[in-house]
Amino acid sequence: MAKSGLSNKITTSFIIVSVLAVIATSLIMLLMTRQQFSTYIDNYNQVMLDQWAPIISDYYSQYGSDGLQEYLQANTIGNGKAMGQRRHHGSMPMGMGIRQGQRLIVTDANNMVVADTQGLLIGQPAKLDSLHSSRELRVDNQPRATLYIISPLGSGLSSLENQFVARLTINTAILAIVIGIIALILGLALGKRISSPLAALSSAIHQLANGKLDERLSLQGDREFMELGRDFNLMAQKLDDVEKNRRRLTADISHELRTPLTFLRGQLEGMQTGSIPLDIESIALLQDEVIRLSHLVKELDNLSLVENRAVSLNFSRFPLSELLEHLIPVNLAMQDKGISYSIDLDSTIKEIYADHDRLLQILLNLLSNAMQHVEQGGQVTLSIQRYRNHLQFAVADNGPGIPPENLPHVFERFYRIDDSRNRREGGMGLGLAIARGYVEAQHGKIWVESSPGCGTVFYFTLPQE
Amino acid sequence: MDSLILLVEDEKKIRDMLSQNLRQEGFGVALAADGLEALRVWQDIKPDLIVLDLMLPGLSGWEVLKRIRQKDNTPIIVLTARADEVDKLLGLELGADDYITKPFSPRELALRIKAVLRRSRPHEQVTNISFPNLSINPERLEALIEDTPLALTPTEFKILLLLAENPGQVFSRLHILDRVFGDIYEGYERTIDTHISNLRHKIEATGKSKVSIKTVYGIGYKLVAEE
Repeated sequence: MAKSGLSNKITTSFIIVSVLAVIATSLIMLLMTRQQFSTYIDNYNQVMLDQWAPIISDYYSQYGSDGLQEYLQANTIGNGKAMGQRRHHGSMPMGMGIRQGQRLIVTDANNMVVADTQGLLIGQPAKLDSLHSSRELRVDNQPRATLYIISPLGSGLSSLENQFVARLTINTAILAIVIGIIALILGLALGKRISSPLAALSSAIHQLANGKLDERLSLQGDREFMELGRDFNLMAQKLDDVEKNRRRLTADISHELRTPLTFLRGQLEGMQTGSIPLDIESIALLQDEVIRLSHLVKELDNLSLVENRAVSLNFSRFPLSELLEHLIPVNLAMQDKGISYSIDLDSTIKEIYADHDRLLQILLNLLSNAMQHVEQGGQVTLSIQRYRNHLQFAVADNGPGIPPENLPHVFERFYRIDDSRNRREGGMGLGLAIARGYVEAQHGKIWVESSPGCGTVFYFTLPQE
Repeated sequence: MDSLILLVEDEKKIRDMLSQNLRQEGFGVALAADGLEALRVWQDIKPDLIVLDLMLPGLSGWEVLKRIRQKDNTPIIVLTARADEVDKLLGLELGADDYITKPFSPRELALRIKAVLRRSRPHEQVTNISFPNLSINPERLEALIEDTPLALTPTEFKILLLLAENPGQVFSRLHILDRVFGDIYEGYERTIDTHISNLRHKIEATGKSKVSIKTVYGIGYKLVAEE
């Protein structure tokens, strides 16, 4: 694969994120450690300054800078050893002193060192930066000297700190590697979890594209994949249905064409050989067959428009009486077959809003269907009822009814309940399919209710504005 | 009438069949097998009407229709094989004067041609059909026996017109249904009997008719002149 896979991307992201997290945590820890150390040192020095500042100010106010050096050394080299060496006012508080390695430096107002517990810098200008803890000593509110304290703790601790930081860095690196490996493992596992259903889906789509329409996914994995799988199966099912439908349609059509073509061929050959007289009657028979064929083609056209949802409707408002006028041939045909036919109208209906020709076709198809399924002496009723925002049409007959197992199929094209019925009697089996298409194109509903032995009612509704 | 018709159709079988039929109906017929030829012939002969198949090789019928309409208003009747083309025709209003879907009866095409020509020549005398003393004016939906008008329903009028246009020819019930209603088929053949019987009564009621509708047993009906 030219592009890196989803699994790789997930794994890489996992590793990057976790390593970054480790490094970020370590950096924060480092910073905090540094701050903690410096705060500690600072605090310690402040305490020392607090102790020493009053003593030295005190000395300063009495004697000035003279002898300060000796005084400091006396007080810092071993407790009590230098006590009384020099008389002075007051004495060092008990327990005072400086720790091993600690150093006090006092500078005067001109920044010259006047005292140094290590005695190294006396008389030199101080090059002490302000980073060292220091305090200004005031005598009579005049700044007279500055006390610096240089703590060995600082350097001691800083080497400790450096050690700590070094260890932390090593640990961080190790941790980053360990976490990275864990991330790699997790990422690969998750990547597989995501990519394996996708791979299954992909191969299923390929199968489908190659015409294996019965290919289905087994539903497993996470919710999203379950949903995806379900949608895929739904799509595959629809495709399968459409394909089966198409195959059946082709088979149905060729079957429907075969019978009239056989008839035409037989008749024409008979005429050629002279076995069928070439008279008006046989020509009329041929012509009738051709008219039927033309009609079949026209119906198939309508059906294909309906099935492609390409019916272009021509809505208008027209009087109910006009519709009924066009249904007069039905009256005559029913009379002729000895069927009692009645129309039951809601007297409030004066006008209908619909595609006139399509509505007429729906009614003709339903009435013809009813007419074909009742015996002589039977009954067919057309009724139209007004509801709040739609009209409901019903075509009822008292024929033999439709067995429940056949009910769901009656609107399918070429569907005939009784296979033994021939084409002449049973119609072509397109009427109801076209009726349904026309009703649905006008946003109506069509359904059938039937009880075997009692008859059948076809209902449909048409929304009215 | 001697109108000149340009027939544009790529299927030779259909072209020959239609031209033969149209000549028999008294039209002069020029032929074209594709769109370019159609445009050329149309410019050469300036026909009175064009019968144009939509599905042509090369330049399509649609294109031919458009190009002719850019120039003038020669009446055009379109032949189409597909129901969706009819929708397109109606939707676009490209200027076809009429259309007829395949399969169709050549006689019906001839009737449509006559109707379109009539419309395009408003001042011309409408051809009345007369058969001995029955005369029919298809425009005014009027049928007379001598001078007595027949009070016919639209269906009865259409049946009588069909029979009178082809006197002596036998029409089966299905054929009559096909031509009169265009849509109602199986199971309704017998309704024609009722219409015919009403027609007969109305014709006989005038008392002076020299035509009658004969039943041809096992087939259908024909209009004949009484001896």
